[in-house]
Amino acid sequence: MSWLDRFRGGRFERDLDDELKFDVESRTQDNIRAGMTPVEARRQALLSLGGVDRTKEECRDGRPLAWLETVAQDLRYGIRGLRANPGFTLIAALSLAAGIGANSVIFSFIDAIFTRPMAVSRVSEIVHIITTSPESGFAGVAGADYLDYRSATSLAGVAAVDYRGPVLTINGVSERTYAEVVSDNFFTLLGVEAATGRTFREEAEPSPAIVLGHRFFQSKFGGDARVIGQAVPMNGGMVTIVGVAPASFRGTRNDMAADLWVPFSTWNQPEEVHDRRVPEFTVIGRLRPGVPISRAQQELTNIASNLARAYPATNKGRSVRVESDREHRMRAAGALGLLVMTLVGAVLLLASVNVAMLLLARAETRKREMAVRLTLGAGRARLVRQLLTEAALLAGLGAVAGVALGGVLIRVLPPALRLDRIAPNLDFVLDSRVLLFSLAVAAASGLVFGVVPALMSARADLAPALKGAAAGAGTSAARARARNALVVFQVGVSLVLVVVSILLARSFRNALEADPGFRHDNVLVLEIPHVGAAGTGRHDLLYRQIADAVRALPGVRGAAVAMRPPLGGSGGGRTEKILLPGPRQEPVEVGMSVVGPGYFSLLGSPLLRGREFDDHDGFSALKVAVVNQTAARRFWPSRNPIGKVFRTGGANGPAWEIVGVSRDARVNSIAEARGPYLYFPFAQMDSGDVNLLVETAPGAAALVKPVRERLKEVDKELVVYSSFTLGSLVESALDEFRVPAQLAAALALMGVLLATVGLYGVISHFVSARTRETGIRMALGARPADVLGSVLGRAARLAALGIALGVVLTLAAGKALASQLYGVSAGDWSAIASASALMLLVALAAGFVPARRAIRTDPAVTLRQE
Amino acid sequence: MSDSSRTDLLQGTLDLLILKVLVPGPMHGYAISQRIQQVSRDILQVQQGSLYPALHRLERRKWVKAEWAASENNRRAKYYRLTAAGHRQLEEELSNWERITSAVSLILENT
Repeated sequence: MSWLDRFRGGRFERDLDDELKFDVESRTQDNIRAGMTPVEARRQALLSLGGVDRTKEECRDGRPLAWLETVAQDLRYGIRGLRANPGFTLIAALSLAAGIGANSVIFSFIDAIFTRPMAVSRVSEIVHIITTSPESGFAGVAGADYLDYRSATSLAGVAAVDYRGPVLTINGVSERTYAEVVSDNFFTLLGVEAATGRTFREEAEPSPAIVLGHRFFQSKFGGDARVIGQAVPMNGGMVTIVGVAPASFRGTRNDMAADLWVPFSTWNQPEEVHDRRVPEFTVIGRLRPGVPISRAQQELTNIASNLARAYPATNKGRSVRVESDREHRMRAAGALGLLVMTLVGAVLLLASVNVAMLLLARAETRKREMAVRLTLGAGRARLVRQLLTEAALLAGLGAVAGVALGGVLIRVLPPALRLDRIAPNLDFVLDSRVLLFSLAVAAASGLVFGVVPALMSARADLAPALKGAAAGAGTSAARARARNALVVFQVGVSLVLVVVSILLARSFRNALEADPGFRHDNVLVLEIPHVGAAGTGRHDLLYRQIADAVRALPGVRGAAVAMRPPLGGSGGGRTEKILLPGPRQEPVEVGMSVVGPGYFSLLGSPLLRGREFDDHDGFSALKVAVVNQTAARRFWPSRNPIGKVFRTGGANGPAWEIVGVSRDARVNSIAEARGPYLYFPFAQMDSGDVNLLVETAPGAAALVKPVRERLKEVDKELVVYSSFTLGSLVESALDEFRVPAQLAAALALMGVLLATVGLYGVISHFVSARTRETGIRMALGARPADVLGSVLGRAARLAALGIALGVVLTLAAGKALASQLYGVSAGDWSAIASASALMLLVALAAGFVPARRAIRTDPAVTLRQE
Repeated sequence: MSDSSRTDLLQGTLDLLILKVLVPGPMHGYAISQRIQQVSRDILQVQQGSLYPALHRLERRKWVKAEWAASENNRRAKYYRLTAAGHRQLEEELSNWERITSAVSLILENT
C-alpha cells in the first residue's frame, strides 16, 4: 500500500486495513454476481473506495492521542528527509549552529558581566536604591541618606555596600584585595548563608571580622577550612576570618567578584556613613513580602524630598529611584549590551534566512511529492505540520550543534578577546540560563525559517506540478519572489553589520590615535601603601625619599608619586567641592588628584603656564594647586589663572593659590568629555592611595625588581602591592573600543559569509531555471558576455535593493549606535559607501560562478533537455 | 478534520442513518452501506470515505461497539453493534430529526 504505512504500527492499522480490504472484496463479489468480469469488478470496487489514504487518515484523526502518533510520524519522516539530503542538512545545520552558537556565547558574556541576577534568596524582593540628580544622573547613596532610608516600612531591610581595596597579609605576603565593605546586616538581608563558618552577625560584629569569597579562599588559602577562626593582618590591624561565602555568591557586582567582605563595624568609618555629601554607597533593600516596588518607590521619594527640604546644602535636587535587581542589571548592560546582542541577533537572522531559502529551494524540488501526497488525500494542514516538523528538527539540530560550538567558543574567545581585563575573575559558562536562551533562540529561528516555506508549499497548485512542468507553476514564481525578498533582506542586514563594524573599528583606531595627554611608554607604576596622613612628617619625608632613591637607580630617568595614575581603571576618582571667590558662591564639584614633584615632566606634559610642584611646596608652605586647561578656561575665562585662589571645604576652608596650568589629560577613559581637573601637592593634601611612577630606559618591566629592592632599603615596611606599566593602563582603557570592534568584525564576517551563501543560492537558481532560455538565446547568437551580463545584472539588482534597505536600517539605528562611537558619526557616509561597495562586490562574486556555468552550457544540450 | 462544513452537514444525518440501520442487529461496514442504499432505493449512496470515518467516530463516542466475527461467507469482518448509549442517542436524534423535518415542511407548505 502506501509508504506511510511503514511508519504505522499496531493493531489499529492492521484492523483498519482488514476492514477496508473486506469492504473491497465484498463489493467485488457483488459486482461479479451482477455480471462483471472479475477484473472489472475489482476495479469498480477500488474506484468506489476513493482515496484510501484520506479515508484512513480521517479514521485515525479522531483517535485519542492520534496527534502524538502524527508527531512521531512527522518526526520519523522528517529525519528520513534530512538524512536523504545530507548536503542540504549540513549547510542548514552549520548556518544555524554558527548563529545559535554565537548567540549563546555572546549572551553568556553579557549575562555574566551584566545581567545574571544575584545568587540570593527570593531575588524578586531585592531592590536597588539609587540617587538621581540633574548634574550626576544616576549615582549611589550618601551614607547619611542611607541611614534615613532604613526607616522605610515597605522594606524589610536596607544594606549599604562600599567598594574598597584593603591590604591583606597572608603568610607574610601583603596583597591588595578587592573588598565589599558592607553594613553588618548585609548577609542576613540577602539571605546568603556561609558555605563554611558563618556570615556576619546582623547587629554588629563584636570584634573585627571578615568573610572570604569562595574563589579567593580557594586561591589564597587552598580551600583549607582550618583558616576559619584565624586572625590575619588587614590594613595594619588584625581581623578574624569568620566564614567563606558560597561559590555562587560573588557579591553585588557582576563584573567584579569580591575577594572578601568587611562589615562596617570592622571597617570603622563612622564619619563616612554619616556624611550626606558624596553619594558613594551602593544601597540594596528587600521588599517586605507582597509589597509592590511602586510602594517602596513612593515611600523613599517622600523621604528623599523631606531630606532635600531639611538639608538643601547637600540634598537639593536629589531624588531617589528604586529598581528591581533585574532592571538594575539590564540598565548596567545598557547600550553596549543591547548593541552586541542586536548584532549577534542579526547574524542569527541571516542564518535563519539562509535556511528558509534552502527550504524554499527544497520545496521546489519536492513540489511533485507534495502534489502527489495532496491528491492521495493528505490534508494541507497535515503537510504544513510536516514541513514545520522538519523545520523544528533542523532548529533542534542547529541548537545542539550551536551549543556544542558555543562550548568551544566559550573556551577560545575570552582569552582571545582578553575579556579578563574587562571583567576579571569571571567564569563564562553555558549554564542553564544560557541553554534556555539558546533554546528560545533556536525556536524563534525555527519559526522564522519554517513558517514561510511551509505555508507556500501548502498553497501549491496541483495540476502543473503533477504534470512535471517546470514552467507555468505560479507558486514557483511566488517562491522565487520570496527568495529574492529574503536575499535582499540578507544583504540589507549584512550591510548594517558591516557598517557597524567599520564604525567601531574606526572608533577603535581613533581611540588608539587619540592623545591621552600624557606619555605612557616606558613608565612603570608601583602601588604602595598609604603611610599616614599628609603633614605627619613621615609622609612628607618618605615620599620625597622614595622618589629620590629610585631616581638614583641606573636605568631610571625620573620618578614621581601620585594618588592615582591617569586612566587608573578604577573609574570615578576623587572629587573636591571648590568655592571660587566672587559673587558666584555655589560650590562646584571637580575631579582631582594628588601628585608629587616631577609628575608632569615625567608624563611628558610640561605645564602650559606657571610651574609644577617642587620640594618647596611642603606641608606648612603656602597651599598651591595646578589646574588643567578646561578648568582654567571654565573658571577664569579670558584671564590668567596663575595667582588666583579657590577654597575647598566651604567658605572657611583652606585657600589654594594656582601656580600652574596643565594640559588636559584623560582621567578615566579615552572617550570621556574634557572636564575641569585639579592637582594638589602631595605634601599638602591627604592622598588615599599612592602610586610611584617611574620613567625608565626602554624595557620598563625589567626594572621592577631593582625598584622594589630600593624601596625596601628606604623603609623595611614598604611593600609593593602590584606593579604594571602605564602602557598597560592605556591598553586596558582601549579595551572598551577594542572588544566591541573585534566582536563586530567577527559578526560582520559571519554575516557577509551567510549573505554570500544566500546570494549564491538565489543566483544559481535563477540560472538553472533559465537554462532553456539561455540555450535559445545563445543559439540565436547571444554572446557569452550578454549572458554573463544578464546574470550579474540580476545579482547587482538584488544587491542594490539590499543596500538601499541596509542604508535605511543603518540610518534608523544611528541614534542607538552613537553612544558607542568615538570620533566618527553613526551616519558616516564613507563607512556606508565602503560597506555598500563591499556588498556589491560580494554579490557579483557570488553571481559569477553560476554565471560562468550558464555561458558554458551547450545550447544544443539545454534545448534537448526538455 | 478538514472540510468541516461539508462533513458537519452530512455527519448528523449519516450518524442517524447508521444508528437506525444497526437497530435490528450487528452489521459490518459494507453491509451497512448496502443496506442504506437498498432501503433508500438507491437514492442514498454512502461513500466509504464517509462511512468508515463515521463508524470510527461513533465507536469512539461509545454509541456502537465493534468486534471481529466471521462473516456470512466465513471471512473475518468487523461488526458494529448498537450500545445502550447508542440507543439513547438514536432516540434523541430521531426526535430531533422529526422536529426539523416538520419545521421545514411547515415552511414549505405555508409560505
